[in-house]
Amino acid sequence: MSANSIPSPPVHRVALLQLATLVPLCLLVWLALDETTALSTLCGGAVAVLPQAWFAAKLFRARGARSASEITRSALSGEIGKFLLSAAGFAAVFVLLRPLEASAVFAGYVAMLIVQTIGSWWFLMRRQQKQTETPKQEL
Amino acid sequence: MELVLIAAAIMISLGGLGAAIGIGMLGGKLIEGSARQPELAPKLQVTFFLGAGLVDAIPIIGVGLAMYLIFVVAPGMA
Repeated sequence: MSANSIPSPPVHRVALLQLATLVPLCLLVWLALDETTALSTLCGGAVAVLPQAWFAAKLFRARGARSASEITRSALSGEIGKFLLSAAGFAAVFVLLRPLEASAVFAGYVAMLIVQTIGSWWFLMRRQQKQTETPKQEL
Repeated sequence: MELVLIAAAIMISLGGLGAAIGIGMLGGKLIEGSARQPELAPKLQVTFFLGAGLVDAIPIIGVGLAMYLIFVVAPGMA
């Protein structure tokens, strides 16, 4: 199977799901608590979503067994980029955001990690199950 | 105050070390699995994506806590 014939998994949907969860979550926090906590949650969530989207875009640039070494190289550069983007994001939030609710920043980050794990499992594993079921039905 | 910066440095370095070991092991297994069964390579790549997201979550939270220590707890030192 050539690398071009392998369809790219819907990783962009995971980032969209994260954003679709983050915005209503921040609105709820705003209504339930205050503006500072909501803005801190939004920034913490953005620090999780943007580096993860970068990593996903880098990782799935190459596909297929023949591109295994290229996948590993792009995973390494994606991981370095994710680590640096996250560190820069946290530093920017803690320097620029005033007033700041630090616990809300980490809560937003962890909430987006949970959504990322569940969303990735849901979208990607479900798609793989469909792909493995389709050839069996054809036979 | 210097101890805060040392704590932040240890958090970042050990977090980076843990993430590097984890991602290295995952990448090695990805290549090994792709070489053994090439038809499973796309599935392994997706599993790698899921695993990498979980492996580097805790080190990045450590980096976030280190940034909090540097820029909020001891801002004059940075």
